[in-house]
Amino acid sequence: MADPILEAQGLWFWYAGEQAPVLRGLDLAVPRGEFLALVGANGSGKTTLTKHFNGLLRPRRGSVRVDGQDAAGRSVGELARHVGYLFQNPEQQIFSPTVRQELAFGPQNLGLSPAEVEARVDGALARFRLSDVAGSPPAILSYGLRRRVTLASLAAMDPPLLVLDEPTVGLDAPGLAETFGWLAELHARGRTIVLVTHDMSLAAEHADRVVAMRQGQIIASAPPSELFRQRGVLSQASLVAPPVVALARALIPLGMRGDSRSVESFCEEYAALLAGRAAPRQPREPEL
Amino acid sequence: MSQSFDLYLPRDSWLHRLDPRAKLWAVLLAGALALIFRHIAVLACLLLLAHLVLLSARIPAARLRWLWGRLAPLLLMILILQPLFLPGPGPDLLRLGPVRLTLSGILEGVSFSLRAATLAFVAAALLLTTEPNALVQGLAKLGLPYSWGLTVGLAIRYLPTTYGLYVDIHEAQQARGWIVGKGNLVQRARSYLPILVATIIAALRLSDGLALALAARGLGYPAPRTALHDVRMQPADWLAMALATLLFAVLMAVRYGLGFGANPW
Amino acid sequence: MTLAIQIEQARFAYPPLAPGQPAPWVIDGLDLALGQGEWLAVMGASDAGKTTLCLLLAGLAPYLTGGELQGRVTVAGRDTADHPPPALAGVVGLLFQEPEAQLFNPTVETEVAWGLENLGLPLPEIHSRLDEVLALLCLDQVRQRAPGDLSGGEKKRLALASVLAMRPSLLVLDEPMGGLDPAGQRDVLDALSGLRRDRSTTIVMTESDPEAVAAFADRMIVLDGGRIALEGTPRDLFHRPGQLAALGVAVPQMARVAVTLNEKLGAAFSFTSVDEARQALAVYLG
Repeated sequence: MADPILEAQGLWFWYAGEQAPVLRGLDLAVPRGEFLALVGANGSGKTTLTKHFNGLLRPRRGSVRVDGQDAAGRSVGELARHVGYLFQNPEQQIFSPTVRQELAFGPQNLGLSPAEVEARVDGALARFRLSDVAGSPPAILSYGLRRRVTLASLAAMDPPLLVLDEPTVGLDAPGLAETFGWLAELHARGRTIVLVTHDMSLAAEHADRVVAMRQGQIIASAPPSELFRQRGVLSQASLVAPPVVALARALIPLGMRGDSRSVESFCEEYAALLAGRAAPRQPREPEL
Repeated sequence: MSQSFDLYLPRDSWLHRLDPRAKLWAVLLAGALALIFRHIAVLACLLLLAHLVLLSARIPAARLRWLWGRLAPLLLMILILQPLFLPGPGPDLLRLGPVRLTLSGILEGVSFSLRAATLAFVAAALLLTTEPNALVQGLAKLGLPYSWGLTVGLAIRYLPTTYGLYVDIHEAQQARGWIVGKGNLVQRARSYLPILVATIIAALRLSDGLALALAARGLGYPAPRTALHDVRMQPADWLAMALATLLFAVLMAVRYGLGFGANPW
Repeated sequence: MTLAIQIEQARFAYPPLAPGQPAPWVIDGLDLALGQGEWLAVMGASDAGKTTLCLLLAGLAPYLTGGELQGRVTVAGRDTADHPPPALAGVVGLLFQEPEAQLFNPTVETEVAWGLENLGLPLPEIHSRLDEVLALLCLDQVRQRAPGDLSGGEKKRLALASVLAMRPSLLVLDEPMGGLDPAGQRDVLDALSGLRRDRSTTIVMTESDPEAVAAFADRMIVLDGGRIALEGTPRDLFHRPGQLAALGVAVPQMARVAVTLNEKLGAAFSFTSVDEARQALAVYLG
């Protein structure tokens, strides 16, 4: 692939003083603009892998290239220009006296001009509906608002590649909708997204490609619908297919294709199938 | 995810089996000795003794190295700053303007840092080999109200957790482009602010939640508390305390009877 | 028969951040009656008051949190205003979302025993309850292990065990599925369903994950702005996705399938599990 934004080759990693390697000779290439879901059970090495993308961890063996250059020799601060990272429990990172200052932190670190920083902060405040609390201390805001502050902080840095580590933990439905609505926008604008999750419904619905990990190795890499057709993979990675996928697969003997990624696509297929079977009362075109 | 560093290492050793009260007594005496003596040889011997005790208690050398690693910055700072700021009497070895370096100053610095190291390892001897609940129980039997002892136990138990929070937050701020630990001393210190502030906030939230959880599980229930693992003084414990007291008495005699050990050399 | 929970006209506000600052009502006019052995799911957006409700049921609010409570909260016949939370510990068991904030003992065994020590139970009683609860939650293999070394699912089970050992008649769980991978979630759900089968503990569960709710809860309420906006059975409520979405509640995929197909085909499907759905849909295809 020409010019992947992220490339890991022969990546081995183990923590100092520990015998078992967490990553075992991993190869991964992520093309620009891809929405990649990185899935696997806890302990499979997903987070360890992603921490190599911004230099928080360095390979013991093998290499990592970020945005065309070797990550070795580049500091975490420098890589932060290319890679935005949202950790689990991101609200822990909040420390500023006001929301505005919190959002300005990242852009300032990138060395942007005050005018540019201002513009980015205003944009992020508006996009995440935080304008009303711009002057409030973020640490005492409600949980939902703090979560939005962390998303806005990431948005203000506007990196070409975003890594989100289990962003759905502790999120309610509106928070989920907001996060994924924003990710979809970014995806449409050509940003690359790596989503670390064990929630297969999300992976199925949003990702271009799913990479499944198990014990430090990649055991599968395919678009979601293809991945669900590979029966052994999910159970090997200790993952559970989303209910709608399980339902679609269960109805394969009766004519369903079995590769639905979402509720909508399943219902369209089912309705079309029914229309084909019965004498059509009302001709229904499947919505594409 | 943060790794967990538990201070307490369960092992099957004589030191682990001692009653927490006996160990506490020995630790207090050893600590007092470290404070009373300034002689480098004596302090070095105490430090060595602490190491031998720990190793005989099957504490892995790697753990001791880890502790030295954590202490190193502090010890280095003492070694450098003490002679520079408090030069002792005697001829100058070096002079840079108002700053004087003397042999006695250097020796004081060595003495001071040995003392710090000794205190740290003596405390480690207690914390590495004593089960936190047993320590709390021991304190309770000495008359300390249970909630006070629990506070001490929790503070110890949550040190690694707080450190884990610190590590996570350090990574998060770095990932936002923040550079930690560069520049002159003042810049370096300020670079830790975003991490420290966030860590303190997170730690406060955690302790808030913990307070609720403790009450929800009955802390403060209006009935006398029972204990699953009771601590009882055995003959071995009295013996250990006696030995520690004897050593202390001998060294005190040396110090105040013979007048030896007040000076670093 | 005493109700497990009776909340009458409750309003609760946390203390203001500084004197003179506003103290909004987090719970604002809540009435709830729950019978012994029922399983209630509490859903709603993240700031709707779910966690505060849990704290009220355990008597922690307002006793430890401060703030003002109006109306009455009665659990197992005891008014929480008259009983400090430690006194309620044998009656109400509260499980917090974050294991870190409640697992602090050196081993699994001492963790479970800690609450029992607080109750001042004699040692033989403590030992027998330990054995019972560790077996019930499949933790006897890891009895001497440090809580920090356990997996996410095991930690949750441990927290559950330490609460269950106190034999509460009411179990309050705050987001029990939170932060768990599918294996961990399965662990906890198995444990809870075992509980419901073998004892008749009343369970109140706040949860954002609708799949777990659909599988287990008898009743469901949706909180909004500190009061109950919707009330009914999960099956019933999950088939109103429009209303739920407006209240910030996710709907299980199977219910969404049923509703979507009903709209498309003018049908009247109603299923909440994959098996039900398969059976219902196969009829029209076969």
